[in-house]
Amino acid sequence: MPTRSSALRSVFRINALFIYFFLYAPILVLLIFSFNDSRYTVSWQGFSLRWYGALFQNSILWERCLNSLIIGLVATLIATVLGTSAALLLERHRFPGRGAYMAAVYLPIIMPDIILAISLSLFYGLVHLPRGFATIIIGHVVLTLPFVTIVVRARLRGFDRQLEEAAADLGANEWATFRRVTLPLIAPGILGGALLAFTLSLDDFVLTFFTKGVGVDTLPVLIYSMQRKFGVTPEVNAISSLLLLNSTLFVLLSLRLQKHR
Amino acid sequence: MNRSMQGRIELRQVTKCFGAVTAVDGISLDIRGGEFFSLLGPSGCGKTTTLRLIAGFERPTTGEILLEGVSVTGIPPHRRNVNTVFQSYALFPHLTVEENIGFGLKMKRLPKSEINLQVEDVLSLVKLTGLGERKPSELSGGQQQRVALARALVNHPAILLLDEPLAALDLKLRKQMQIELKVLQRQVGITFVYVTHDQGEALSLSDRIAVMQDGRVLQIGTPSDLYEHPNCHFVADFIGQSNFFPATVAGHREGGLTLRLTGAESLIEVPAECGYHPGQEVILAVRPERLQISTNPPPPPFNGLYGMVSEVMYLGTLLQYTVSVSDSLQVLVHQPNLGSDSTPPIPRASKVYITWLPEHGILLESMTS
Amino acid sequence: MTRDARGRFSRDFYILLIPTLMWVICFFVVPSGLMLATSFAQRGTHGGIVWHWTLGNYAALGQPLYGKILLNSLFIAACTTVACLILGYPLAYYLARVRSRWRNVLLLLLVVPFWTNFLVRTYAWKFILRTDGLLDRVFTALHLPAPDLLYQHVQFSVFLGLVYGYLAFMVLPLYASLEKQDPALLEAAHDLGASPLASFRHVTLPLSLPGVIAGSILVFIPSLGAYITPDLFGGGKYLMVGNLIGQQFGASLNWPFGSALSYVLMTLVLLGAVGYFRMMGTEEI
Repeated sequence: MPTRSSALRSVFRINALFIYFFLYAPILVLLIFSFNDSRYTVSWQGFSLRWYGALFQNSILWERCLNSLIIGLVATLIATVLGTSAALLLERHRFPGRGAYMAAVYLPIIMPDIILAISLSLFYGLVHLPRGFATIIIGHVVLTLPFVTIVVRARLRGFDRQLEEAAADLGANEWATFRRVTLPLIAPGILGGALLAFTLSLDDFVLTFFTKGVGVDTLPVLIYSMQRKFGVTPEVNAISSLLLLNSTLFVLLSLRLQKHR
Repeated sequence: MNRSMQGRIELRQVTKCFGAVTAVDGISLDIRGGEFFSLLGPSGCGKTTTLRLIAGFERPTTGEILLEGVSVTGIPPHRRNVNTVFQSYALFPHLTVEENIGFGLKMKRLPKSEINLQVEDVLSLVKLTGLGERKPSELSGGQQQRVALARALVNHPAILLLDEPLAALDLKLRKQMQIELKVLQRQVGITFVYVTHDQGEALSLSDRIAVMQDGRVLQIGTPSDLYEHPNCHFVADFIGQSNFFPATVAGHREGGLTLRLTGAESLIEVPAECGYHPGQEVILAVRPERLQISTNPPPPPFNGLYGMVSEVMYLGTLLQYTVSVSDSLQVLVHQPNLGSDSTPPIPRASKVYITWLPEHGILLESMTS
Repeated sequence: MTRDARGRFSRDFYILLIPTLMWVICFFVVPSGLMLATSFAQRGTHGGIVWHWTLGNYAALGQPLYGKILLNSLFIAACTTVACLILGYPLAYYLARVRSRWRNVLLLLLVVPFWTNFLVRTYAWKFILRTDGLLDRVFTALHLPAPDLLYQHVQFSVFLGLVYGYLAFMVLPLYASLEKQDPALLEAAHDLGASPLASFRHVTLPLSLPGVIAGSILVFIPSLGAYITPDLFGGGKYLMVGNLIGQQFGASLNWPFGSALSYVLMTLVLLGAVGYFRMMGTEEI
């Protein structure tokens, strides 16, 4: 029955088209209207870069940007070191309590952000930890650590252990083997994981919102409070577009690295 | 160092268990310096584990390993004067050929100029001059194999361990590399321990061979020892081809026995030492190429069998006849292919006589006893 | 090698173990434990915590207002899951059958937005759905009544936003289970006389069931714990359970009740996670 199966095939195709439209339309709309030369954002008044120009002169925005970057970089660094060691541990060692260890490392992935955020907030309150960069960074590390672990573990699984034996056979001690053979070979995985962690940290809103102190804001928190205060404005569209572009770039780079053989 | 110790490997009652599985079961070996020594056996016989024990990747569960007269228990691989050529080659994919080969020297902290010099030397030894800049992935299988060899040899180990190094190559390249390996071993003069499941490879390369099965060494000897005087059914079967005839001892003769083969009428002579009694069940093994086949009856009393050709196979260098002596007794006969003009093949269904010299019979313990 | 001959762990084992272990204990395990303790404590008069043990915080869930929010959250999460399944299954099926050159591009297009900023993507919807937003303009232009979804139908808008946010979670495991099915199985079914529909029902669908369950759990968990979508769409007035929790740590300052709510939500999530790992195996992550 060629007609029926080809009809079915077009149903599938239309469904796919509809979903991709559904996924990308809002993003494209946002992007397009960030170039709209109008304060009343829905009607198109012509192409303009004025909102991007305004962003460049907005010193608060630059400061938030810098905060986001600092937090992102520090959190990524810590999460990458800890996540990589967790990956090595889980791939290479069997030990009592391995399951519990794995649960503790991985659980933050499936925990709703809000629970993670308020448990940390509560913890900071009870131990009287002053809120600031450190409290945000800690949260971001807990959140991104499992992602690094997953990506590095995947890389380690494709790793030929005999290469390490070969290095030992050629006179390399454990540290030299790790530095000259293991590390260079899993480096794409580590870098891929780090990029993912950085993206997640830059994008995070909920954790930051509940663990930040007064005065230390990040870019997503700024976007949130701007849309809260002024509603939908072209400036917010413009920052959002930039942030979106940025994370798309990082994610593509990360995926590319994870595939690298 | 004492010259007799150089390159020598001794295994004393070495056992290796992985959980409940005993991979190596009380092996003792004494490999002389400069020897080409093969560990031969089917997969899972423990030969690779034995090699890994010598290299230091595994620790013996019990027993002791001595390299050049010194016990190496507890010494990690990177401090053993032993290098390995891995089956998969294990070339570092992120390093060039030169960097791969220079890796061991770099670990010894040799000056860069010295490393470069030695790498050049060994590259020419394995005939890869000019390929030093490439990555392993840009080389053919044969070239990768040579890099693996060079990477090990450049360290001037006293002992080189080779784990099925030619298994990944195609037949023609394998034959060529076998010759090169043999030449190379003479050139460098160090001990080679060679793991293989290919009996032809072991026979053609080795000074001595240890045949292994189920974690034990069944027989150690030179290739001709093993071929001419296998000490058990497994060795006779694994090395070369054999006809196995179940038989019972019929009586003693001067320097030997007479046997009655199961499924045949004639009495067969075989040289044997004492210790057999009439009526004992034994197995007689005879290599197919030691058998004479003829349509003409030999003068009696002959040492052989009478049967009918049931299959003729043309194998290039030889002709293989399958001869049916009785329902339960089939015999393989190899006849050199001297050209169909001089000896036309005997056609199927011909009645033939198969004979052999008594000294070509190999007497083996019966499997049941 | 994990242990030496005497059964002791090697030095590098401890180097790998200790820093990460300390970190997750300090900043995940201990905070979760404190939250559990807090959920059994009482609220101080000016916020804060009074350490008198009580079950009252859990009992408070029985109050109609809170119970309704919890049930409503479960309802929305369930609707989101079903909608994702209805949209996602045909897409996954299509992706598993489409020519491989296109497949990788389409998969990438599916995955990339899902890694990008969730807040911004939700904000983009707000831009479309709000009163006199793009959607209303389009309807007006077509001489139809403006639906004014965000204001008139917050719940539906939230549902829409969640489907949009988590659809990829459904499609990916479905795709994985459909893609590894041997096409010869379908041919065998046809060969044995099954109609296309029958072979789908008796071969494809049962074999993809693990993917269906995994995908459903992966969508249900974050939908249930959603915070940003209801907050942005409802302007802080529409509450799912995540927002209710957030409120206890913000305006209401009732930490014990917030903790108890968190534990209820966490239990539901963990049940889902256990189901997921049962389905996929723990080493499959």
